[in-house]
Amino acid sequence: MGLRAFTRGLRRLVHWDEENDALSEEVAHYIGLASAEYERSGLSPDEAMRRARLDFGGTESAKEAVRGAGWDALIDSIRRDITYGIRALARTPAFAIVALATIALGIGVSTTMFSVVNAVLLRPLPYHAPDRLALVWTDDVRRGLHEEATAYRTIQDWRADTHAFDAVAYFSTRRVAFRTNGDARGRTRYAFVAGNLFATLGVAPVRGRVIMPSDEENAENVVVISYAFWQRELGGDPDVLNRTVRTDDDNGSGALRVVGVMPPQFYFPDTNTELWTPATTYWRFSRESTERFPSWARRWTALVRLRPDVSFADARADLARLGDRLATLYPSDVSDFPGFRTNVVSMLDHVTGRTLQLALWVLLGAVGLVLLVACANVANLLLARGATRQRELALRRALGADRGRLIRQLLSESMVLALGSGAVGVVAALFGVRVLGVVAASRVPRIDEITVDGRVLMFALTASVVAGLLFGIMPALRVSRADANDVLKEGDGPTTFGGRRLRRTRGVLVLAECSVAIVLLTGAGLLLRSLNRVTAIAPGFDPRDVLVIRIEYPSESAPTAEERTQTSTIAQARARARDAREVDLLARVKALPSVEAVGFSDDMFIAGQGHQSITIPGRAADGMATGELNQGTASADFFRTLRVPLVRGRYLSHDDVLAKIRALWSPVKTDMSLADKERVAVAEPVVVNETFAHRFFPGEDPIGKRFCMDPTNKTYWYEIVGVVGDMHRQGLEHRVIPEFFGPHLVNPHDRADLLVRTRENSAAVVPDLRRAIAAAIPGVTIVSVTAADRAFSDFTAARAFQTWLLSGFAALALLLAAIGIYGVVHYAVAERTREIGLRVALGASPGRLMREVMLEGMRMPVAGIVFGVLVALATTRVLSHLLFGIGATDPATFAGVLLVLVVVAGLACLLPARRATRVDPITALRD
Amino acid sequence: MLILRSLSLEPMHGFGITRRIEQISQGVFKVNPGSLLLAFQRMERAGLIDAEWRTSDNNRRAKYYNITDKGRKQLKAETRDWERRVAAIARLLQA
Repeated sequence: MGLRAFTRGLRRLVHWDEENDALSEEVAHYIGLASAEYERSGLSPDEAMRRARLDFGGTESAKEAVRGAGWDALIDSIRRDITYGIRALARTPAFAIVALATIALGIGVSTTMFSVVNAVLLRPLPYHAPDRLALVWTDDVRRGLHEEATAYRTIQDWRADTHAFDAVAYFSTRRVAFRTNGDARGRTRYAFVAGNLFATLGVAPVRGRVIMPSDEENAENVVVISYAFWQRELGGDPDVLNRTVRTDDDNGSGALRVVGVMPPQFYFPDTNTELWTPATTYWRFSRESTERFPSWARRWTALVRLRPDVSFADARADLARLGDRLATLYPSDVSDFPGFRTNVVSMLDHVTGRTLQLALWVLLGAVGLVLLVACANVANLLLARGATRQRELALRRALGADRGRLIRQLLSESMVLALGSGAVGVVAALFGVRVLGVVAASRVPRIDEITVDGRVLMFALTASVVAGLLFGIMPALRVSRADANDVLKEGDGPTTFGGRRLRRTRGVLVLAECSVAIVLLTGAGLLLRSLNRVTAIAPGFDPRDVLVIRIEYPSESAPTAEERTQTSTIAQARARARDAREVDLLARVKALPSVEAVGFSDDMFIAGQGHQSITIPGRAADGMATGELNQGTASADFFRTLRVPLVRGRYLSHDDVLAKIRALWSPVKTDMSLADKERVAVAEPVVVNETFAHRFFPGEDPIGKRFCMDPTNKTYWYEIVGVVGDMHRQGLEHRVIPEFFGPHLVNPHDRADLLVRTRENSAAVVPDLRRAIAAAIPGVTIVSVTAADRAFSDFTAARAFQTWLLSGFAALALLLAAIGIYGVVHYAVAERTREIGLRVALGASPGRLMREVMLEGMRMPVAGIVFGVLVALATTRVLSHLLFGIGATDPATFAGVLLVLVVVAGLACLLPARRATRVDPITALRD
Repeated sequence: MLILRSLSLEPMHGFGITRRIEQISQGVFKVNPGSLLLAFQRMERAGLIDAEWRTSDNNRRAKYYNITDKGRKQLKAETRDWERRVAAIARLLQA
């Protein structure tokens, strides 16, 4: 099509009437001239005009021929189909509204769910070519810990001897207290990074520059700050460059100079990290970077950029090959060294997490299925409506429309319906997205950026068109097939159009709906039972009426070199002073009228866990090194506050703190034998949980036993004084790991959790608590005050969220399927009213009639259920990572779901079946 | 081709072309006005002719068609083609 043909066509589309008038004028002019000629040859004006018209032929058909030519004519006919479609829908508003609502619901939930997937998984991460970025961790296969940090030396080997990467950078994050050269002070996370890290990420700063290789080489005291940090702590100062930020963790050589600000959307490796400084400014860098095996040297995580032609599998193979070589080159002399196996995690997987990705795809699939059921229902409605429109269609056919034209007509109607539903659905999604954004805000990473953007709109449009085709095409083919002769001959009675064929089509739709419903219900059922299993676990402590107050201690004067060696008497005195302050705080809080008990712990809901090796005299060291292990602290009343039962021995007391201080500063000579060390050491008294006791002292009384956590020197010892019950401190889903609790003694700039059990309304006591804490520890920061039960239920919140969402979708599918069954049986009964009336008149019993209708009606649902169960058996396996405590083919779930669907299908059949028994033979036969 | 040939002499309106063709062909070709209008639209869109509204001799608005350069080229090509065919057929008939 030439440009000219296009513009002319466009002009005609836009100025349709004008062009039409012009055409009419041209025709009139033509006829006028022709008739004038006839007049000149002597005919009367009327006769001349008649002859001219006769010569011309049909003026209208000529105009129509001109109008029907060109591409624009096709568009116009579609436009007319659409107008006709809208009019046809408007004639049956009840049908239009039901169909519109059904599809709009389907598209609304699909679009909402897709927005989530789009925000979390599809939108690119804020780096250059983010799909080529990955983190490389050490894979501790023995202990099942797959994301362990790595020694600098090993990462240098990766850098030198692999071929899969364009760049290998590394980083390590820490929490830090900071002070700016303004007045701002506070705490944040910061990262020591390699000089090439920013280049690897490929992100430009909004101010200044990023960390560069020369910064790393020269250990420059420079820092790059996040946009949020700039705005919050430095007031968005336009002259931010060269301002200084001091940390309590610098290498003693002074303040860090701000050299750059990152853009607002940038984060690495997580949103909490706000400062980046060269790795070499870390004060122990030179000491640690020479070691390969000890746990204190394994601090770094590698960030790699894969070469464009290298796949993740290739990269893994490359690292595995090198790992094998390193393992033979450097046999480990440290018992807890995890080896050289690696785990390559793509950046997206790192940010979102595998489980969440799986859950989101499952949910998106689920809404797709809901949409499918909605389509089946509307297809059913269209078939029923098609039956009543037979006469109209037959008439059009008789007037010369061919079947293709009719199909186009019917499909246009479906498209009008689908696109209308899509529009309504998008509006619903706008709303749904806002709700989800709020509900899931803290549970799903990146969801705060959820919006309905172009891609989401494209999805909604595609979904609408596909839905329109899905529910429109089959009814269009079926309905348009009707033979004009048959239909028009039949006259006015209720049409029996389609008969068995149509009923079978509708039956297949019901079958499909039931299958889909059962698949969704099974998925939802499995998740619901998992959630049940999880929440049925006893937490091991009583989180009700307990407040968790996270506080951060003010920085004291920076730790001196002496304190770092932990041997000086000054340090001991400081520790005693801190303990006295602690005692004072506990007393003040306890004195508050509504406080029942109060205790301290370093970290109530353990964020990370240590994996130290444990040495127990008389046992093989290797055997002891396996398994996760957590070392925590607890003040004297910690367990009483949380109502954790004492199993053996005693709880910790305040005297134990003093014992710990003695233990901390009582050196044991490193050259003694293990037995001597154990004997002479001043041990720190500790309480262990039951899992610890079972794991390390099976069948023994652990009270009085000593153990050691320091794998190389074995100079610091612990002595077990009590065993307490297990606590699910990482959430109910986590297996309880062995734990031991030492007396609570804070270090400067530590943080700690104060646990307060209140008598009544806990919110009312919060202001008093804040005052008491501030009075006891000047300069303290109260980071957060949370109800323990709330914090605890947050662990299962993501699971609950996914479960209820999927259950909601399944319920929707079930409802739609039930409506579908109801519709089909209802229609079948209505169609057979005359027959049933006759049989009633002949004496058929209502029970028999009902049984017959039920049997007939249930045939397709039952077939659908059987088919659905088979599909579910084959597909629920994808859920297995989301389940807890049950298998993907859990028989109880399947049985329950089966029962639910049979009952619902039965009810949906029963209602119309009862109508059959109430048919009045007289009215039925007379009609 | 006949329309283009007619227009190559002067711009004309539809009826004029009908008359011209009928006259010159001495009544051998009868023009169907419906087809003529369709042909106008097709040729206009193909860029072979242009159309403009003008006041005709008897003071009525009429749509005048005019041949374009592209139209002239097309006419030339078609004429040549046609003459070749006629010549070929003539040779065949004489052989």
